Amino acid sequence: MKQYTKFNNISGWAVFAIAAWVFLSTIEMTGSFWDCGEFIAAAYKLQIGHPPGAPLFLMLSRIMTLFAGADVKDVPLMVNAFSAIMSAFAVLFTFWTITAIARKIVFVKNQEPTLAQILTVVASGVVGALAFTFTDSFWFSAVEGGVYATSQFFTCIVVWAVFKWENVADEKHSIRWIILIAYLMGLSIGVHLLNLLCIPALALVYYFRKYPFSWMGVAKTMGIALVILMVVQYGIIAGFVNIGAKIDLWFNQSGSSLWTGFVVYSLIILAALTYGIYYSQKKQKALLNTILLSFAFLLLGYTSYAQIVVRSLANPPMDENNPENAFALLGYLNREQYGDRPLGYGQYYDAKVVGQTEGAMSYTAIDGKYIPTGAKVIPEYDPARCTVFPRMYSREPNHVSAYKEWSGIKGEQKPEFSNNLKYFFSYQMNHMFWRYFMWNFVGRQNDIQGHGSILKGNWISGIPFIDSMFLGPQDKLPDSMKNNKARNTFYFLPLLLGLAGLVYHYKKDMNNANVVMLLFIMTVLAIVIYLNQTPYQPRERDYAYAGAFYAFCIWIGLGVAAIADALKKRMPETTAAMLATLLCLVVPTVMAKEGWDDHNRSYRYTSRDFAYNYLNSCAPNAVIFTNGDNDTFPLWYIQDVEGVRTDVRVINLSLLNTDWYIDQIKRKAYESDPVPFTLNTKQYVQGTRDYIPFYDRSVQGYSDLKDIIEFITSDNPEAKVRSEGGDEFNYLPTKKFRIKVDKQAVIKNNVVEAKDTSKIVDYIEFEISKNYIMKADLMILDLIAHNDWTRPIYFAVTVGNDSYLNLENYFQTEGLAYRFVPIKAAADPSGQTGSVAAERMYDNMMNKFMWGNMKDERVYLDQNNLNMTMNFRNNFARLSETLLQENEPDSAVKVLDKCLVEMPDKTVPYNIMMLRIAELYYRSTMSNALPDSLQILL
Amino acid sequence: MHCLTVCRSCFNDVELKKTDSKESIEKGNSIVKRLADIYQNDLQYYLSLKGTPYAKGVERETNQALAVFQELIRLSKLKDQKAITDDLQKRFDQLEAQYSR
Repeated sequence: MKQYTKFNNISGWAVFAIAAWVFLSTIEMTGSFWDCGEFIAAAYKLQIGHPPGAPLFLMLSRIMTLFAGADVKDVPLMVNAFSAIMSAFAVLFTFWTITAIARKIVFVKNQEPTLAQILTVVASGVVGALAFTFTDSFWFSAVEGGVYATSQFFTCIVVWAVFKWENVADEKHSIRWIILIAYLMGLSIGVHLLNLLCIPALALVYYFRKYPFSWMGVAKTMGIALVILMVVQYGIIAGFVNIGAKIDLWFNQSGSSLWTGFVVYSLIILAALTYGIYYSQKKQKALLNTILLSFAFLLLGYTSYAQIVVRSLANPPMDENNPENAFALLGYLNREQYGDRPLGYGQYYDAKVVGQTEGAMSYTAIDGKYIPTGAKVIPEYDPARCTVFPRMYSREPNHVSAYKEWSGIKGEQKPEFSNNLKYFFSYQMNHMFWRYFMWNFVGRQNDIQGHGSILKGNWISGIPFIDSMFLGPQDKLPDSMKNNKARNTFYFLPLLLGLAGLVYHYKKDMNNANVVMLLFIMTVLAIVIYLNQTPYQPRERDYAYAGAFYAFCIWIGLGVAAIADALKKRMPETTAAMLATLLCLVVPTVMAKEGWDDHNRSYRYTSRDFAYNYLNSCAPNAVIFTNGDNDTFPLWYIQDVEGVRTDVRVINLSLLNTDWYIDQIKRKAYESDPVPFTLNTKQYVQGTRDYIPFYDRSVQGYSDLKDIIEFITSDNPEAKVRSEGGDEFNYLPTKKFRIKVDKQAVIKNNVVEAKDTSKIVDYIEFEISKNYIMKADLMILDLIAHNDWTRPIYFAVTVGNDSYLNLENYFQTEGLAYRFVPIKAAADPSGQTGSVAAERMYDNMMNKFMWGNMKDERVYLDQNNLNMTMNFRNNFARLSETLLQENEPDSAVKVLDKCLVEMPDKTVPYNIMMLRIAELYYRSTMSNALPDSLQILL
Repeated sequence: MHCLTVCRSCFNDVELKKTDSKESIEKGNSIVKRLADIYQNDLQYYLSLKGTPYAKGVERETNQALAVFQELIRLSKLKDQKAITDDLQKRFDQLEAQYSR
């Protein structure tokens, strides 16, 4: 056994070294897209990221950033390296988990293992762990600075720990493993809640080890496990803070300062736990002692959340939800910002709202006092159009049409429960899970987000006759599909090996097979049901299911044992073990070979550089409105970490619907002065002016926007309407607005290029098309009404028309942002937004912008990156065209050349956007260089 | 950057400059040819789906690719690139014929 232990340890660390090398070799050198920029910025300055927060991850990442040294550009590299290392540890614990399971099958009880048996067990671990290393989804998270790698580490280590406990369960002090697991789970809450889904599987290990098998026993264990899961999820994580908040409110209303009640409550809990542990020890009540110790350690792990409160109280620039009082912390933990979705019972998408009920009262803290801000309104839906297990609930038109498509509803037919289930199975299970599963173990067509098209994001095996059954004939695939680096084909090998391992596991050790199966089911079904995903998710969600892929990799590992077992009937045991090892190593080898080129993010700097370009599109001290993750988080990163253009205030329009964010925007941040909104806190506090409907008052012509803002923010009852429920609220009396332009201020502040001063209009007139405005719209209108051209205002080109409030006629492109200017753009026949400030844009794009190293042929740009590059190609074409119109053909050609140099075909494949580039090359050589639309003028 | 600029309403008064560069034409040609290869490749794949249940799923892409091809022909005519135009027209006619079969 000693020999095995040595072999097991050395092999485990060797696998760790391989995984660490793989991940560290393929990490992104800077921040990545999506929320990585936010995490890195939050870690670097211990700020508050999006709910429900990841304080432990931030603190650990912060420690890693200390190794960046003086060059802040290495900060993201360190956070990414942290993910890589945690992922390598996850692989290490996967290895030891597989060998712990395999040895129970392969070794003969009370006998020294033979060399063949040792080789079989270790090879199982190697193949399974390496297969996990190279799974698509896990590898993706391992090379970027997000929480999923660390979360997966916690899943792997707790599963390993429970098998360690299982080995020594009859020994004295074995309970320390259970307490360690509780502590790890508590810590994992400070990273991601996914880890809690292991609880049922852990409970099953406990049951099988402690009790003789019976189905009733299994059912009871499952019941208890689910109760524990609910208690932790709702009772401890939210419940602990919920009770504390109420006690804190009571203390505060009695004159104590904020947090007094919460601290008293925490001390009571601490005292009660201490006494309980002391009492149970003294009275030799082992079970009670274990429960209390586990609870105490789980809470201890959970205390990482104190960091959120402590740092929020310091008001860092990024302070999402401002969780500096107990109620704000509760809202933060409950992710209230994202709204509710029905799970057990709720509405179909066509259910009408027939009433409303009031939920719990909300409180905000102003000047150290809790102030009620109104009860949460919960809509009541027509009970005839509600169902158990509602899956199709969103009323957004594009969701409704996709619901119909996925569930087979025709025309105006009402959704029934059968449609509901069809949607669940076809979209939520098949499209949003099994498709990902197949990516990981069969192969992936490409990394283009798929919504059901045969061209995008499907699984593919590489075996033509099978693929053609699902995706049509594959023999004439275009080069763009055949040579796509994200096209990875595994020929079913990982799947088959995993299935062999699964069958073998059930045959040899049904109890543990059930444990792994439960782990798999929980990390699939629980997530699918809980997320209740709508169609058209903003991105692929495979990363959420890495836990299930990990469970399947355990079976891939056991596949080696299965094959060795089969082979040993035909050859010597050692030869069989060696042959099985060699055969099965093909699986991770194929996965590595296929996956390397698209998972390798070395040399890529796009996220950082695009953020740099957004900011450098703006004039000094500007305000830039952004909308999504990818035009906000990288900007936060580059400002917070690298200190780039901190004079520019980035305002995310989604967050601008919240009072806490407006408060923060009104504060100075770095070099950026407070944004001069005129509304005071009471005028925009949550529950006030969240939504302002339009009521037609037949107002003639355009109304002065300042007057309208004054009307909307007035407390005069005459400026309000009364709802059926008796509530009074402000409304919008017109949709046509006018802003008087102070030309002197425009010229003085260089709002427009000198040559354009003659184009300055006397009034800006615009009409919104929506029948309401949201709080974010109100704040935009307030800013543009009162700004008097002192602060440059921009909208990122990626914001989208819905948020432009029909101001586009007064937009001027200066790079990756439209500047709001008092010049009316001529109508553009090609549908482009606003006009072009050629001189400024030329300087930005030719001299200032950075290009993410896209011209380096070693760089791989995934589809998300490529989508971003389309804005650049469009901008190059727009600028070049404008220069031609302005009789600057040499400059126009330089712009086109730059486009070709920075985004060559090899890394940014030519597409439809290149048509205009080609056309402009031709036109630059013609005396009639203008597009047809302008030729008419001649 | 050059400072000579023209307002859009003043075109009649200004002699428009041009670059007399073979290089620009060659670059335009090179892009046109590359795009033609890409879209022809795509269209041949879409054609291979003809008659299968999958053809409907690529209708939008097919129409877009055909439109791009036509646009490429139009572009090549801009600078009288006859050889390219003839080649593209020939390829397009073949594709169209295959689609209409």
